[in-house]
Amino acid sequence: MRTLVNSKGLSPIFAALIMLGIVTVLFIPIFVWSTGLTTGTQSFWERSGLIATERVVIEEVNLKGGSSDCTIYVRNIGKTSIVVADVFVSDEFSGASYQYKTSQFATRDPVTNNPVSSIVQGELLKVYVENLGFTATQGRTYVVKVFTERGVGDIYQVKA
Amino acid sequence: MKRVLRDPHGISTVVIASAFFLILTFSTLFLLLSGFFGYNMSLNEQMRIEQERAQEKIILTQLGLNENATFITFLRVNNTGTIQVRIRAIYETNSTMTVFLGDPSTYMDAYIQPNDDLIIKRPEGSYITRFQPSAKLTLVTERGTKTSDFEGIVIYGPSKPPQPYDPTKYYIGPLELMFTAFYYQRTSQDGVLDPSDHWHPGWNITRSYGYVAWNITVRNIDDRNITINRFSSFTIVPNESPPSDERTWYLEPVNQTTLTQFLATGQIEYIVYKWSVPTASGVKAQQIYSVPTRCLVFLTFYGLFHEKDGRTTTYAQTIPFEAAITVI
Repeated sequence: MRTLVNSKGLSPIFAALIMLGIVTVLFIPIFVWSTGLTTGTQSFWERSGLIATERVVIEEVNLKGGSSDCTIYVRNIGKTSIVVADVFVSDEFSGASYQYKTSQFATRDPVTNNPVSSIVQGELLKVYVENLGFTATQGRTYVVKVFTERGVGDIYQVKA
Repeated sequence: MKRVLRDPHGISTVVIASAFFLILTFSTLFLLLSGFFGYNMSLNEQMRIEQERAQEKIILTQLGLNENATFITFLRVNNTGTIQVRIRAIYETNSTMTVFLGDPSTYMDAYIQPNDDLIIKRPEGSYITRFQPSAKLTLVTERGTKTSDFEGIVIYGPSKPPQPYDPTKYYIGPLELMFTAFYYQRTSQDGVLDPSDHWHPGWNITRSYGYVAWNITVRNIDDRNITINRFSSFTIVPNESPPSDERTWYLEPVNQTTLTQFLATGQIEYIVYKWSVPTASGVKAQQIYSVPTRCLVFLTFYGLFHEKDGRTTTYAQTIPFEAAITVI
């Protein structure tokens, strides 16, 4: 009686394991690249979506001649919650422009006067710049710009 | 004879690897597409908001005043757009500041259906604000749509194009007096308005009220702009004696540099009189009588017409009041 011994019995398993090992090793950089790309692309679309639905309007500005402070009323009319990050005031006559960062203005709820940092759709925010760094001249036109953290903003022209 | 054994796992490895790649590819695609579709939905949402905003239109149509015409008791807003709106803010802008008067949605149902109107009243009979004819009221919806108008124009009607003078009407000259807007307020000797006092209707004033400022409202019905100067005055002449002396209050100029006040054609403006002599440094405010009396009032204006060709010509006008004031 002849006994058949398959001398190649283990090699398909080894071959499969080796193949899987090679594929896995080769796939690691592709995985890392594709994950990064996917995440990056997805976060890009998400950010773009947020920016697309972010919209603010400046309703009124209190900037009168002889004063060195300014109150800006900003309403969020988009879907995204917003945080005001920058305020610019430009003097149309002299061309001078002033920028105010978050540390230079206060944001409050105009009804309760409580400090608030962000507002959702339909809400109003009072942005108070206590020290403009100049005194407004009566009768002169100033351009006020407000921008959110994501760079969405609005412009308002006011005569002091 | 040697038996050749076929490897039954050869294909399954390829299938597993392929399936693995396919799952990975599709999951990556799914993530990418979900991000893109999310962005697309955001764009659609924003377009919807813009479309809704484009359909909004509101108009401030009426103001209600209290009996003395000193306070605004209600506002009527019409929704002339094609979508429901919600009033979320009221602002008032006068010559010195812009103030936020409140959010009506915090104390009432501030929604307005299309082709409907809304009367905005403060709770418990309190007032919206003081009536200032030259101040501008602005109402804003939740989507940021605004309507604004001057209080005087809403009350007295819109400015009409200058007409030839009608001799049958009671005006003499280019400034038309708004008889219903006539007020006084206590001042210090230096002419500073007393912050604890407010503008009272001017037809009656208590004797010994002290230093007072008078506030009248006029409309320039000429087709030329006018500048009045510091010699313009408000004079009361007692009907009986005592007191025997007439008293004059001189103009508080809006422009403190040129000591003048500009009155644009067609516009309603208020004019304030404070001073016992034409204003200059160190002048004092004028006082009301310390005895009861009835007085006639005369308004005298001096200044310039700004002609169309850039020239200026002299201007003067006197308006006698139709009614007298009473010191009680």
